Amino acid sequence: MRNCLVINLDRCTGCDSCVAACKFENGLGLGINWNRVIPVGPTGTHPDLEMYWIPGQCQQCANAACVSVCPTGASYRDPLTNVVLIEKATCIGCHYCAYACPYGVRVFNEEEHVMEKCTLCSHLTADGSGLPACVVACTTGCRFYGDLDDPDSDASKELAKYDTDCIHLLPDTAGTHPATRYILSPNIAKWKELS
Amino acid sequence: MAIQWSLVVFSLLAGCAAGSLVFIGLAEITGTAKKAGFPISIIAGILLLLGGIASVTHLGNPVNVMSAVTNIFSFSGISLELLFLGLSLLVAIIYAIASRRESALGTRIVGIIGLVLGLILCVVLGSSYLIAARPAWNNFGLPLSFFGSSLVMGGFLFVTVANSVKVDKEDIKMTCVWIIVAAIIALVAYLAFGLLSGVALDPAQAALFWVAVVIIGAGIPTVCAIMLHANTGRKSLAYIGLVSAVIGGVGFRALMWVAGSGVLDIFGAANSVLPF
Repeated sequence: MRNCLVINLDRCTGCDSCVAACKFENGLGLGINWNRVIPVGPTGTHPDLEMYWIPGQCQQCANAACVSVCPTGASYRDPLTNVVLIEKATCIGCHYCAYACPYGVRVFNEEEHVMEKCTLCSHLTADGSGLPACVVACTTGCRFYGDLDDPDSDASKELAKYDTDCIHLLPDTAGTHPATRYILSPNIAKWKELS
Repeated sequence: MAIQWSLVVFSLLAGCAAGSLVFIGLAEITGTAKKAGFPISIIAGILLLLGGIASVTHLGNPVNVMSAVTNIFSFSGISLELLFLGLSLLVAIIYAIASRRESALGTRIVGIIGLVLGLILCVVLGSSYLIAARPAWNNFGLPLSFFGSSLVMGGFLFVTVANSVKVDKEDIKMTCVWIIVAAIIALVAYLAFGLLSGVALDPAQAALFWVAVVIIGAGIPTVCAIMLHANTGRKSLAYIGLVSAVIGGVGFRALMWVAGSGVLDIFGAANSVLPF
């Protein structure tokens, strides 16, 4: 089971509605984000200019380093949904999960003194009845949630519409195997490896 | 990345203690510097306790620290640190008791156990930072540097105390030989880390690396150990070597944090264009 997000960058306009929806749904304080949107570009020379946006959040890595380094087991993989989550009640705030995360998507909650991150809105999605708030709020319908191992999931069906050269991952230089997929068609923009 | 000073202090104190346990063990195996064992074990125990307290000050939520204890057999990096820190503290206490009771067999057995635990702790203090997401940390030079740094600090702490309790000159000479070996290990390790991580050639960090870490942290201790071996009466060399080793240890650990940038920082770069 690989529950994660598939984000179609062909349609993402960088509006940040997903960011706002996440903050509202999860009651995040000022300055705290569980997802952000990064502009990539503009690149090229007029009139051949390109630009796209990458919404970034926990990549739900198959080989999550944040889980293996956690000394208390607070960072764990839910046995039912296979989603990487944080049990705040046992988090000691050592920050090692943040050091181990290759994508810098974990944040320290200064009020509760524990680590936090995107939960794929587990409180809405764990029983299969709901969708993450960011998916619902997306103004262009470019975010999809589901199990990549289920061909009938929204995420899998969106991926199936595109050739493999349109499907991308964030750099996997740390060997964590991010599950999140990004769709970017060559006729929209050339995918640029982030560093 | 910001320097985590509480962790610098923790690994410095715990490393010095671990190194001194190694030298206690070496002394027990060779039957030398017996008078130094008891005071060193006390100092090592205090350093381990203080180091542990320093590590707790790093935690955002220390109230849950028992969760780390109950999950200790997850064998994560921090779990191993906690495990061997605790075992080393236990050995230091038992050694002190055995030494007080003048149990030659007891101190030898415990001393050898302490040597093994000390060697492991010297490595474990650094191996917990072998994280693929931090390329500058993810090389053998990092744990080897923690190993060498801990040994050279522990060695000079041992010889400093040995001098103060007036251990035989020949025993001091033998200790100096081991310290020379430790300092050479530290030198090689620091060079390996510096070159593999890039700090040795980074204009922003090279000065700190070559001066504080290599020259002061390994070079001066090597020279001090050689000179002390030649003239055991110059006790100031032990102090100079210890201070130099500590300076190098602080410099290395600080550089480690400064060089510890992650592979990608999505949230940190959200308001700017990432390089590609």
